[in-house]
Amino acid sequence: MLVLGVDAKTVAFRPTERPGEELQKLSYDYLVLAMGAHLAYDRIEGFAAHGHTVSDLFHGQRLREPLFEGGYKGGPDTIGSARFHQGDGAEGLQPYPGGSIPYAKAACEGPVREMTTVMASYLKMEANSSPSRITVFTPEESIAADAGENNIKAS
Amino acid sequence: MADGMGIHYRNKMADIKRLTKDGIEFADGQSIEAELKLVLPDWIAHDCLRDLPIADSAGFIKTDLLMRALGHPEIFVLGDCAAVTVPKIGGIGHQEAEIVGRQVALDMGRMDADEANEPLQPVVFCIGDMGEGKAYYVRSNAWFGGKDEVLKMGRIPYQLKMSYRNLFFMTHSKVRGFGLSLAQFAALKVF
Repeated sequence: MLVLGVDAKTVAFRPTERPGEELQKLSYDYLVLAMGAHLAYDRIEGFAAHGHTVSDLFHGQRLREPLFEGGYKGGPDTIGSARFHQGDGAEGLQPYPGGSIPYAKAACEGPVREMTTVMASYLKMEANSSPSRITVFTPEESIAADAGENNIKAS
Repeated sequence: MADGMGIHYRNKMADIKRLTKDGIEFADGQSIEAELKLVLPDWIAHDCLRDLPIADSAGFIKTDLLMRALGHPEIFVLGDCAAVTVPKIGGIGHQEAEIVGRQVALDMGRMDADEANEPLQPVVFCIGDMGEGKAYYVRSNAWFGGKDEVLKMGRIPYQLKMSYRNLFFMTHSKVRGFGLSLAQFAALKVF
C-alpha cells in the first residue's frame, strides 16, 4: 500500500507480483488494516556484516552456516533486543479493571528467551562449551517483563 | 533460569549504537564482547501509516478495544500495526482478529451487540523451545492488570511446541483458533 485516504475512503497501492506494475486505486466501505510492522534491522549499524537473528529463513540459514558448517569459535556470544520506541496510541485504554497497556522497552522478548535457552543447550551438548559463554541483554528491568512478575521469579 | 545456567545478564540497556566484529556497542557507552551477536530489532510503523491522522506518535494506529480506528469506525486495525498491540506477539494479533470478525458480523446484522462487543483483554501466550526436548509455556495477563500467571516448563510444553509447529506447516501458517485452546487445555489440565 502506498497511500491511505481515511476521509476519502480510498487506498492506492501497487501490485507486487512483477516489478514495474502500475498504481491501482480502490474505494472502500470498510477497511481492515493488518499490515504488521517493519522489523528495523536496517536501522542497526553493522547488522548486515556482523549480526544474526532467527526471524526469517534467510537469517536462520545464515546462522546455521558458522554453527553447523564450520567457523564458529565457541563464543563469547550475546543475545538480546534492540530498544522498542512505543508511541502514545494506547494511553488511557483499560483492558482489565484498573489495568492499562504498559509502555514496553522491547517489542517482543519471547524469541530472546527462546534463543538463549536453545543456544545454552547447543553450547553444552554440541559445541563442547558452556552456557556461561552467553550474555543476554534487555532494555527492560527484566527479560520478558510482559510474562508477569511471578512468572519471571519462578523461571 | 539464566543465573542457574551460568548465563550472564545485563538489563536496562540503552539503544544499540552499532554492531562490530568484536561485539555490540550501546548508545550510553556500554559494550558487550561477542563472536555471535543474536539480535531482535526495534519494531517500527510502516512509512505509509506513519503520518495518517489516525496514527499515534510512533506511527502505529490508534484504536479502541474493539479494534476500530479512533474517529473512523469503518477502519478495523489488528496485529503489530495497531498501537494497542503490545508486546508485538502473534497471540494478541489472533485475539484481535477474533474481535474484528465479531465486529464485522455485528455491522452485517449477523451477530447481536451483547455477543459482538467483547473488548480486547490481551493475554501473553508463548511456548518457547529450551533445547534438550524441553520447552516453557507462558500464559499471563498480569502485565495488563489481569490476574492470570501460568508458567510450565518441561517435556509436555515441548510436545505442545512441536504440535504447534506441525499445525503451522499443515495449515500453511493459518493456524486455527482451536490450536491455542487445545494448548491451554493441555498445559493447564493435563499436567
